[in-house]
Amino acid sequence: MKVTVIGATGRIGKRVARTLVEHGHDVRGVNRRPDRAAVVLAGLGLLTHAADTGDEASLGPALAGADAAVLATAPTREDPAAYLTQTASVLRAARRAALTRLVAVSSYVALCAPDGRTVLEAEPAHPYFRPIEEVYPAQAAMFRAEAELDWLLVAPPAELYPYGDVTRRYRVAEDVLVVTDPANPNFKETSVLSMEDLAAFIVEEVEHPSYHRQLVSLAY
Amino acid sequence: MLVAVVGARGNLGRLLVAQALGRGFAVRALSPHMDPDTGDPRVAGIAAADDDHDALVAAFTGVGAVVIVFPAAMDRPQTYPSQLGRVLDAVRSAGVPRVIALIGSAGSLTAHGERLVDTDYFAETTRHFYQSIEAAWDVYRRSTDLDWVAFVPAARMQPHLPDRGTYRTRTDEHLVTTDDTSRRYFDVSQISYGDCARAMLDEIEQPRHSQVFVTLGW
Repeated sequence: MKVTVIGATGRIGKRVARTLVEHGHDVRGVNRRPDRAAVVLAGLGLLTHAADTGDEASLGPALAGADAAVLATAPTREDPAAYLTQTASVLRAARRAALTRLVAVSSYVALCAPDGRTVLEAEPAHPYFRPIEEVYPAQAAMFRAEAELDWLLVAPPAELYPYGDVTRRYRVAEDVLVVTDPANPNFKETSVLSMEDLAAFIVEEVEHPSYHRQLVSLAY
Repeated sequence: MLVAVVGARGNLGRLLVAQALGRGFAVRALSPHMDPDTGDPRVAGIAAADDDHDALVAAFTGVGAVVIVFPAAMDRPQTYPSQLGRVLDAVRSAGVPRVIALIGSAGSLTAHGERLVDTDYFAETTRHFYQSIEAAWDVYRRSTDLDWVAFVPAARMQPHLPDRGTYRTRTDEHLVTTDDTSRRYFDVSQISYGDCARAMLDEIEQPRHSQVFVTLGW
């Protein structure tokens, strides 16, 4: 398959890109800074595009001819709203490129807590992080309004750790955070996943889609 | 022994004050919004921010040690090094013989030759916060005229970790871990707040280090 990874130098994007390359796909990486791509993606043998994800014209060439795309960018503190502009731009460019599949990384803050309230209601964010966290439910709403593409939003948990193993022993739930101890007031800390398993799931959903047009939580 | 604790209202600061009292110390507890009445005659509450030089000097005059544990402000981390610098200026003016500090582990080295701040435990979008902590390490490195010891906690220090009453230290700026072959730093490098406070107070009672970063873990 021809797959474009948007945000290919991030912690999740680079793992997804690497796994896709290992599986023999034709992978293109998109990020803002070519100097970072040269360092982070060195030796992977994939084509990288320096593009502004918020600009559909800039993004277009990176998606042209692709079968599927993975969106793995993250909002910044300085300009969290830009993340929603990027999402809109990616959705438009994906429709134009007639992608058969778009898998995007969301966040646990877009989910509901075990008690049914939203995670942001159950545990309000620190004021410093609130602007960043509030873009995730807004992004989910943008995807839910998308009827043309076969999209999937994947929400990793708060306790997402690097340098783990691919176990595929994760559980998947729609809209509700997967936890091991729902009664724990620190329920967030009982929702754990390795970045390696997150990347493995995303790649599997690119290759063999089994969840369609929904927001899923992934954790052990 | 009379000690001043800067950042006395935080998770670690409260434990330090309580443990210091348990060791028979008297405490001047400082925080920008500290209530003067602490309800304990052995603890003087002093409301003073880092930019109130005269108040800090007055609070530090006559103490045996100043303990610095205030954290970087989440909404303006870039000011952390200059905040620390101002507190150390007051330490100089007051002629305090000893400084025992806590500084974030972002700048510590790992057995794999990388600094913790450069690993995938930190997202690109939040790295600037941790880089300001790293910059604060240099404030201590430059303070060659002071008798300081900066404790660097393990990668994971969370309030709910139960105390074990033990700790191990290193003085080569490397994380203390239970397994140096692992890159899972937050699993192999841990310490509780209580055991961190214990290590800092042990150093006050029995000075063993000077002008060095002491990493700390179980």
